[in-house]
Amino acid sequence: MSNEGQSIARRIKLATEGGLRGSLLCQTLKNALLKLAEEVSVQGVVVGHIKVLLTEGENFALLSCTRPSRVEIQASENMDTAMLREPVLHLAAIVANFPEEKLGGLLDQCILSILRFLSDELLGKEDGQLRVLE
Amino acid sequence: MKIILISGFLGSGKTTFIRHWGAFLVQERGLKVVVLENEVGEVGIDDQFLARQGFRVKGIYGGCICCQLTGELVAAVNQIATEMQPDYLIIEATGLARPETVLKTLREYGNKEALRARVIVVTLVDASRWQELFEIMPELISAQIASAELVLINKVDELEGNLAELETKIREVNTRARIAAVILREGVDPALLKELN
Repeated sequence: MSNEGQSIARRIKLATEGGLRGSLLCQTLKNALLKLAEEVSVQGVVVGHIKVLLTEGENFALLSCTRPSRVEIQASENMDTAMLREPVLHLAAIVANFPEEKLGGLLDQCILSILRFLSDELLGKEDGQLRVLE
Repeated sequence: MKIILISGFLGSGKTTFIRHWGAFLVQERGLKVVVLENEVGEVGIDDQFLARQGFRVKGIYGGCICCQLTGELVAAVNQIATEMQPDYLIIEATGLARPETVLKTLREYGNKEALRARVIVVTLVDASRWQELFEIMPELISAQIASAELVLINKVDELEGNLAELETKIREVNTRARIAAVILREGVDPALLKELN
């Protein structure tokens, strides 16, 4: 394996009583990936791959980013309209020639921004508290 | 058991191609397919994605089968051949792997019975990042193209430049490979899949 790639992965499980709509979660993840891609890009491209797998039961979506301007999403049929109560997120960033510690820090910031946005979205809703289970 | 090694840089579309082609083999041809997924990270994402779509997937994580996990590669291929006996084994290499070293490992240490058929290499090239990636890591990209029987130029709709020029560059590295332009997010021409089969 040449051009050593730094690989960082995180897994988090969220919970909300009222649920999060799949389309909102996918859009939030997309925005976060675009921001992360901007931070790690060189000459306008990610020299690697940033991806997120979102799952809950039968529903899933894979978000893939290789440029700061584009995220590709492959999702199960009903993901957009599904209400997800305990979604699991697997996030991975593999970037060549990038400091591992810095990449880990950026991925953690990315997760924090996702959580902050979702919490704000749920603010004021009766059953809207967001919890991180794992 | 036919073995297909899918190569190509990170994010070039390897998993998406496997999703299309695997579905063709299983649904259209009624064949038994196993996917061997190798990911650099400790946690697999592509294997979970493919498994959720009904594929039989075995994962090798935390390193690359071309150099760090050669023993795991041989053990997994031999195990799949003897225990699962698929018609096709599709191996997805990491985006940092050099296919020639994977082939060398399989030739030298693989079960000869399981590896009677020649291993076919399909390499994905990301047209949207071609110029940048070829400039930043020319050796790796060239090595991935050089070993291929089939080169799929993916994301051609995002290519900034001329497709014919890109094909010429690829041809300079590999004179014998079949080259096809695709947009995998929109699907794959069934004729190409039939040809592969």
